[in-house]
Amino acid sequence: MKLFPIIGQDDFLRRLHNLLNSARLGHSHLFTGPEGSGKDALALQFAAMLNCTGEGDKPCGECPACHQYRLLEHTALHLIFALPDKSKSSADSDPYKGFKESDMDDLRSAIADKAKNPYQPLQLPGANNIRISSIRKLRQDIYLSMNPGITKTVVIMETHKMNDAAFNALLKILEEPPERTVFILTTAYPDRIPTTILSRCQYYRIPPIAQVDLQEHLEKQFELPGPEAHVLARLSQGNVRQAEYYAADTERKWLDMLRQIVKVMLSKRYHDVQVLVKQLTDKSLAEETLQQILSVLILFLRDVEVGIREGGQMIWQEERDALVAWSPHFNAREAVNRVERCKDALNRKVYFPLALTRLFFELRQMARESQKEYQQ
Amino acid sequence: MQFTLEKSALQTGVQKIIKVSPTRSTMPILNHILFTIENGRLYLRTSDIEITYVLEVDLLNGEDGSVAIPARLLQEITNELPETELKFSVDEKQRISLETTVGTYKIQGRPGDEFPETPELADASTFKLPADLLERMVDKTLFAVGRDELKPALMGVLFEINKADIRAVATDGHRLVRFTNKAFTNSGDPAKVIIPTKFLQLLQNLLPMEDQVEFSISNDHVKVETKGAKVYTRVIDEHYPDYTAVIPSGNDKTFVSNTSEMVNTARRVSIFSNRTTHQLAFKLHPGYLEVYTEDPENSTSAKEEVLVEYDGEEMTIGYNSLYVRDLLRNIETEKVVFKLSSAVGPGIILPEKQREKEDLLMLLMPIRLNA
Repeated sequence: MKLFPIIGQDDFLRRLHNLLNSARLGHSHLFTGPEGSGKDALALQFAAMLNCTGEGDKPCGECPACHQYRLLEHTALHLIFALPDKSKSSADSDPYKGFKESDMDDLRSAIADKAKNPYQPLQLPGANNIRISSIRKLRQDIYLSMNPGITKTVVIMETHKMNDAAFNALLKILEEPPERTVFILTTAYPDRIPTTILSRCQYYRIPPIAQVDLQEHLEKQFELPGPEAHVLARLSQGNVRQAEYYAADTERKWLDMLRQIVKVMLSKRYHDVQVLVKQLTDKSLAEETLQQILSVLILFLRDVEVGIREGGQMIWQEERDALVAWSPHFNAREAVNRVERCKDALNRKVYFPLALTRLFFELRQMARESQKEYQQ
Repeated sequence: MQFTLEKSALQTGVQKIIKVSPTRSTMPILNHILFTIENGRLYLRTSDIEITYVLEVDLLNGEDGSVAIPARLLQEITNELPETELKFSVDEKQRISLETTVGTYKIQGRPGDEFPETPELADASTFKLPADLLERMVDKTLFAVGRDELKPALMGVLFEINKADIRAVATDGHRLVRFTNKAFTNSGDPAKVIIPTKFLQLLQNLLPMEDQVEFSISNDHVKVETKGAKVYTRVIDEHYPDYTAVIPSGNDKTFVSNTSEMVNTARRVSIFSNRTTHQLAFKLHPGYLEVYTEDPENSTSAKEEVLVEYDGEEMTIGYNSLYVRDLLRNIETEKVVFKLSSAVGPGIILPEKQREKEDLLMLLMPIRLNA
């Protein structure tokens, strides 16, 4: 059973089950994978599996241990994450030193949010590093005994946020780990972790979430219609956080803009390009939104190229049909290349209006030329 | 679930057990007090994961069940209420209604099963111990416990329960204290356990009110039970180093001195010692001891002489003044005995006369003196 709302990743969950039953369980595990693939969620799920007291499939979700893990309040669960630096001294072993009661409330509510949605990062204002005091505190706690049958589980989120001193302190524990203790480190950037730590961990690569699973999640969670969820799932490339961010934006500016872009491609008036570029470079439009619109345009062009799946339905069916009818031999593959080149140029901070104007004229030109070819 | 109890009973209980409730914790459930009624008896429980405190409180009437109630809220309202009967009613969503003669208060509680479980003491050895003996064992050893989390085993006091004695040992690698009581007899199996300092500090507050306690040791937990209260702690799951190997037996340079004079001298002279090294030198002459220090960085120095009973050859040895003062403060006899071997060997400090059926030994490692 999935104790946390884990999206897809059935293969990986099966792997964890096999590991649990194999009696070859190591003491340190490193979960890596792209952002939003569910590393933390799977790490917490794995930790709960280790201490579930229910019968049969673990975690059972019914026993008190599962219940406590679901709230991230199990006594054998040690969570390590980035904390703001409020203490004047670096030699403390109390990571919460200098925290006011309101800071503790914020921290507790951040943990409660994480328990509800483990895909969201546990992010506190001003928290950029995993502090050495957190590791010192862990070192004090981890050597204390537990009730028989309980495994101490340490989940270190965004492990790459440790500084050298914290890594060295952690290394000391990993070198001589206490009995009945399992460390689960998660990170999207394993190359930022010292090899001394890496060499002591079993390494697991978590794939991005499958598009169908993500689409299903968006349909259920945000009650999105299938075609829209399909586009957003494709757009976010297996990143739940990104998908949820797009889904939460009810304005759907990207869809309006895409419709306008297609209109401009089919329009005879040069002036329309100018109007569109003006809209896209308006100050109210964030740079990320512009990138998102261009990503949507790429998806649209790919659909133009590939055509519609059997039984499927596209959110931009009308636009696609209009473009194909107007320009049956439109070279969508080349068009995708042009858009990618434009995206790349935007990343390099070129003059936005110029890059966009060029792109739209190119797309218009391509549409027109293929129409001529067709007529000839 | 419904129950009724006297306000004063609850207030006293809450005041006692709230000490364990952590002030800064990321687990909101730990800021609650667990109320459990079993067979018509009410138990309050707090925990900080390391220590669990269970206290029985007089109940007027109530039905079996459990609920966790926010600790601070409960403490504040019981402090403000006049002497009255408190009637608690808990619904299935853990909404608590507290009815008193002056008004009704609503509190949101949490289910009892979300609270950390009571530690299990499997195969525990249990024995009775006079409270003052346990208190003395804690007092005499706690100060020497290590603070370095790189050596987790030294961050607690080792309790050894043998057939004919009970022993407490603490060391931080620079000094060591071994306290043995030979009046103790144990009919069960011998046991060894490292008890963390936090629990021992709690005992220092708890024990003076008691006569006798029941002491239980298992592999994973220790429990101290007094009248109506049970305090559990997790133990340090590490191997304690073989301390017997460092206690020398052939220290032949023995001198005896007045304890308070030594403490005062060490205090005065150490004012002038280096703030980082706290270095203090003992130069031993027949009949007297020269205690001196020098801090070239601040151009300060101090020298005093103390009369001692000594007739051996001259020798000089260096100590950390903080450790010397700590150890001497725990000598209760008028005179103190130092047993030394060489400038680099560990020194032994003993009271001139041990208490009946008691053996207190302190060991201090020397430091190398500046040339």
